[in-house]
Amino acid sequence: MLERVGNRVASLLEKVLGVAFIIAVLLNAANVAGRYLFNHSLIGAEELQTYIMVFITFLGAALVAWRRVSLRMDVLVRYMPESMQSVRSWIESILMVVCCGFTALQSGQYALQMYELGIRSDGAGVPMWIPHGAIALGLVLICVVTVVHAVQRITGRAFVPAQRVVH
Amino acid sequence: QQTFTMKMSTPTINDATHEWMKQFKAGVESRANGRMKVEIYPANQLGAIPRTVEGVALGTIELTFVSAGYFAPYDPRFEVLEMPGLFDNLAQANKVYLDPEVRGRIANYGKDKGIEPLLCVANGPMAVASNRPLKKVEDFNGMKIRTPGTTPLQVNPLKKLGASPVALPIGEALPAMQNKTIDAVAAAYTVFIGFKYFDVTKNVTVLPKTYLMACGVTSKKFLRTIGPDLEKIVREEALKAQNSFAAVSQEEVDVGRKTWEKNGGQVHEFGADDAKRYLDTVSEVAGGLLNTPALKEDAAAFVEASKRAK
Amino acid sequence: MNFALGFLPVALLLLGFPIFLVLLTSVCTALVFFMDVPLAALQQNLFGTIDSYALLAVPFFVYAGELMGRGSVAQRLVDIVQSGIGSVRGSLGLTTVGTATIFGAISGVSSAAVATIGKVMVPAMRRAGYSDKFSAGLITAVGAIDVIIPPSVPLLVYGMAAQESVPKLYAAGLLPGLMIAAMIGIYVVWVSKKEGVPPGERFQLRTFARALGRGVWALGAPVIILGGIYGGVFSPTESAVIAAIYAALVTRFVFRELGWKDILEASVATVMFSGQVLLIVACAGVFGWLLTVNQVPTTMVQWLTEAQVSPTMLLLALNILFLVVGCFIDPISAILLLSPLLIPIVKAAGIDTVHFGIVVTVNLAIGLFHPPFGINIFVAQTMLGLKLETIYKGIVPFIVIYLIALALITYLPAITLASMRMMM
Ligand code: NA
Ligand code: NA
Repeated sequence: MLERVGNRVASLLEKVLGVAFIIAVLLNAANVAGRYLFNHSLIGAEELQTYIMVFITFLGAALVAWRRVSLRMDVLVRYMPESMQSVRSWIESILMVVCCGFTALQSGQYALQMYELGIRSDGAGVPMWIPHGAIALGLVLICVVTVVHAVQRITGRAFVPAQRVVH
Repeated sequence: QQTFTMKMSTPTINDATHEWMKQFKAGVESRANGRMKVEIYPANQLGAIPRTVEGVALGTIELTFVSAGYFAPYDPRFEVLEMPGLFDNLAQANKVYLDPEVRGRIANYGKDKGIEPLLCVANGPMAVASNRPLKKVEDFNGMKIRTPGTTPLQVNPLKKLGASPVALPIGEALPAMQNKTIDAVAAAYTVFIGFKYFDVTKNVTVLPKTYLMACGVTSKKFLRTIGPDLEKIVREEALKAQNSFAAVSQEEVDVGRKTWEKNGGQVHEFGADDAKRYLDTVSEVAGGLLNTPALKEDAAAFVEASKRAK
Repeated sequence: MNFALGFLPVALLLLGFPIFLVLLTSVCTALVFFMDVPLAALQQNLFGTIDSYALLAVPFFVYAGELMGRGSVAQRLVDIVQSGIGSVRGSLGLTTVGTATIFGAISGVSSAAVATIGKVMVPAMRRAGYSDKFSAGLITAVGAIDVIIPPSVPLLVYGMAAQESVPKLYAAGLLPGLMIAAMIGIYVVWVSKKEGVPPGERFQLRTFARALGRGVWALGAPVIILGGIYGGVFSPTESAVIAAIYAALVTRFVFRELGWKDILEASVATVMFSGQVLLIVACAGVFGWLLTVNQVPTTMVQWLTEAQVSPTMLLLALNILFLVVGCFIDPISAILLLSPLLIPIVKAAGIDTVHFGIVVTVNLAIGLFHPPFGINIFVAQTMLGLKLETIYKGIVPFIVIYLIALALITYLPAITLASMRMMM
């Protein structure tokens, strides 16, 4: 059930971010074309592209967490006895929730301050709380994913070893 | 007894701004008797310029010294500082920024957003380095030109002159000009010396009556936290170091010009007629942008102060 | 502080925690327990590191690589080169070195080279009988040439920080870059002989002509990239985008291999790459900032200044310093932090600052693929789906090659100076 809902949400998010990145690609190309065809470049296009990169990095990170493909060095882990591996895995989940949660809190406050100060980017006039908020959102989603995975482990469903490298 | 740390950021290195910081540091540290440590981070070591401005607003660093336009998102009045044609020369500009009335006015900029300019300065003339010589206003036509930022005041006048503004980080501008992706780079005159643009082009044009205005901005919260006596020291030392800024910055410009010419470069200036036409066009656009109730009063005050400083 | 920024990350890394979590835990610990800096620094640096136009080149090149790899653009390009080289042992490995060198002339961002070339060459090398260990080591190491051969983002940044001429630095980097490529090339041939990688088919004009015919459209990609950049049509970052669009259109309409869905899937793969690799870059950005404001590099330089050594020893000491720093910080931050401090010392010792810039860059190039945190390692891991220890093992011989090259470049300034004279 959790697995199915999670996969749905993940594949939707995946498509949204995929389209967003293609938009960044097209914006960049439009800038090149504009420079030659109309002697005009889109002011602020660079900003939009880097903000899209912020979105795909931090929301993409939540996808990476859900699909359990985080980069790690797991050579020593595989020589650990199984009980230790399990303890290690729990510590990882706790650290993940604590650190990402804590950072998300800071990010969220930062985004809120940007909102209250009313700061906009100087080229495209994007309210700065939006790209800043993407980081908070991504980190919150990582926490949610970690909790869901923990629940799945407790209920013994859909267990996938945490140290699988998939491409 | 608590020791406060004041982290200061500047995008450049070994220039008048960096010099101001060194003088300020020496002054503050010697008077604070170990209660204040001043750390200087030149060359963007603390991050990109807009991030350092946010850093000051939110208290992660204590001062950033960058061109005035970067503060405009916090208070549009910062744009008034970049009004073209206001000053005849660098000395006059820096004299105006030492005028107590002007200092008092500027100190209020960004008040609602918790930031406060300790000082503003004119940091050398603005110039354009170009692949083909830029000697008259018509030469702007069709020129793909890098601008330092993307605010309307930086972009619209160039468009009006027929140029095509491209926003690029200053670091990427030089190779882009070398392989002719862009035709020209607009920046503070001294930037071209620092980056050794003479290896790429011989042409630099000093823009008439246009200067890079920079502000050293700190946060209100920081000034409150350090207590009244340290706050007094900070303010006094900032002003003290500002007094020698004009001379240091003028010397930098003179040395820069010699360096440019020694390396086979030429410095172009518009003739009187072209200078007037340039300023008329640019001022018309800028005037339109600055003609809002919020900015009008300050613009007028600067014009007055400029007359007094002639 | 040593605990938070030194011991903790190493321990967590060895325990197999995700790399980004290793860095994030360390910086959170440092900020909460050891430092008096507002916590907003965390967000500011996470955001500030990713909000960079120069970094955009990385996902753009990854996307171009994905598109070329999904359709047959990549394979057709490899076929042309292979049928052209003929039966030389190690021809595919040499092709990788050659491609990386050419790619070095395109981009200034090393991870872009690793992503694109890795995607194209590693599957072909696997089919030809090379071990993954060797391919992974090769690809992470040749990718690092990118920052030595102009254009190069680290050299640009050095030029700014050291107030040295960028065109001069670019000219000085070319010969050292080619030298390293040649050294790796020799090693590749030697390994191919030793490991008995079967040689390619003998050169036949007919085969070559057929490959050329099949690959005309594919050849458009590198031609557009190189022509566009050196013809001044667009910047390197833009060239990645144009190459991606070109690859998408050719595979969609000429080869009819990919549908719109595949083009979206290649984009999704780029998103996943960003979520894995750029996330680490972001966390490393905070880590580097903390080292900066704790004045760690400044302190290291102070030791050096006080030691008062001869120029020869100074260069050795600086090399060690940059190698150590390069293992933990990305090249750009390292240059920004260290060069303003070191340039006065270097000048006082009578060392040429252009030469020094190249020495610094080669050092940091090693840092790009040096375990544990070399970013190219993670790029290779994501793009190729290999185990981290496989990559670590494969890298060792290439580090040795780079160290030999570094010694030559450091102590024979003639190499960089000749390069500069030749080019300017
Ligand atoms: Na390069
Ligand atoms: Na590194």
